[in-house]
Amino acid sequence: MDIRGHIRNEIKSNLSKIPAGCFMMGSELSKDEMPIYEIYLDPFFIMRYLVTNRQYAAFLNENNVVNNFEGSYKFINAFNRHTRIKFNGSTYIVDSGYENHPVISVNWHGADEFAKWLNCRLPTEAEWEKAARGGIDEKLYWWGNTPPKPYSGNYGEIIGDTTPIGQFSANNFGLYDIEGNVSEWCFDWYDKDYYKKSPMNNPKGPEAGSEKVFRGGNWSYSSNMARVAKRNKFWFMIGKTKLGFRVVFDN
Amino acid sequence: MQKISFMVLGHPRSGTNFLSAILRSHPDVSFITEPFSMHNGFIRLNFFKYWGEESYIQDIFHKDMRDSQASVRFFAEFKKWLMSGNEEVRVFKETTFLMKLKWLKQYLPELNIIYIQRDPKGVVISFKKSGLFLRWNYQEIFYRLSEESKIEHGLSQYAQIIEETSLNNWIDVLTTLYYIATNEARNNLELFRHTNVVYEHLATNTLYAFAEIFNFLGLSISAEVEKEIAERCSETKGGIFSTFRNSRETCFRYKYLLTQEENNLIETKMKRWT
Repeated sequence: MDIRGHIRNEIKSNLSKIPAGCFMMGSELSKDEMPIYEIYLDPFFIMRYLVTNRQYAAFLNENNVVNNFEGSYKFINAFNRHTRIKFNGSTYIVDSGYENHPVISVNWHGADEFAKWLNCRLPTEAEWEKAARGGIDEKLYWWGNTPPKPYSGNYGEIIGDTTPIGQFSANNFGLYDIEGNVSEWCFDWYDKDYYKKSPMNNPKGPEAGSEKVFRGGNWSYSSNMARVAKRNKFWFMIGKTKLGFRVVFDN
Repeated sequence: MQKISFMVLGHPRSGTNFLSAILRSHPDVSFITEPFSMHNGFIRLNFFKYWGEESYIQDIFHKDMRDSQASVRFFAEFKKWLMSGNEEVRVFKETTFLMKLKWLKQYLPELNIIYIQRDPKGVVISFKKSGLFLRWNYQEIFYRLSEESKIEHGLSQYAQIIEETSLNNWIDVLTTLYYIATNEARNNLELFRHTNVVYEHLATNTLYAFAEIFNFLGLSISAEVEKEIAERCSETKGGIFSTFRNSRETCFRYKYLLTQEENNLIETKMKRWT
């Protein structure tokens, strides 16, 4: 069975098209989100759902990834017991009940390699924000300005763990888990002053950096992380139990 | 602006996660939680081990890492991350370096430390409620430490307290380990520019305490930080590692949850050896 083809078809059958056009990126709530400016993006197709443990384990197994070596790991944190994919000596298996939870503990390289395996890529920060806003500019969250209500999403330790993908409401572009569950790796290097010098068309972030951007809320962080304009950064070499990803296709 | 870097250091269950969550919320702070103890096998094998300055070897960072090139690269890349970036402050939190400060001074000589300490009774009750004493296998840790103290010069001063500890009494074991780890940390903090934070003060005078901590970082409390403090301290929710706590209610809970005997054991031991 062509596992790669199967996973690719599965993901491609659950994409949202984000049409070409402009949107207002940024906010006035944090220095690195300023200035608010109009960005043009080409059309792209983004996963409605986060990449799951099942899909990621399939990637590791199909590519015979040697993840653990010499006290370190290549793509997914082997040392944290909360990582839901474990290696049993010959195969990567998912903890029972977590198959459709979003994959966590994957470093940026691990997310990027998964995307390359499927001939796609991680979203740029601008793409993520446009998709997350769901076509509504100048709001704090994808639904408006009201802070999230308890149990309207998986954030702020209300549940205390990841939840199966797609359990809460989708935004206007059909994307799930934007406000919570796990945050998401983006393509861009992080630069706190990037908005002051970014191109207006299809920005992809600075050429180099020491941290990659991640966006979106997660099961552990406060409601402030659920804001669609909130920018975050993290060292690309390690994963977090609150951090996963979704991928983007150009066509 | 000169690059400065910081580490949050404290015994497990001393409020290090809460402190980290608030620091992380500042837009000018880049933060990593436990990059070594949660992401590196070599450190995990040596979690409660004592490392003196003689165990540091330039280029491979530790004398026992010669055959672990991936770990060597990890240590090198981490140091690069810590020293890079523009104007933001880079901070990480670790609980594994309490007995490794002399080694750490060789590895990260310019580091500044925020040291948080908590009443040992609060630490013990946190371990009791969370079941972490068993999960983290503290009896085995104590046994290995007691063996190591017989050969490691830096631990020889603890031989007597170790000998007087009852291996079958988990409170006795935990209090001894707490004493040794925090005593080592306190004795070697002077190697670094540092500030001391008391968890109970952080819990009951939160805004004021964090203003002092951010001042140590060269920053001021931002609107994001104030919002984060308000949200995290308003109610207690989440699991044992959650940092959403009504800390005023929880930080003195040990007074009701420890028996008189347990209370006396901890107090007597700490008073005797401190």
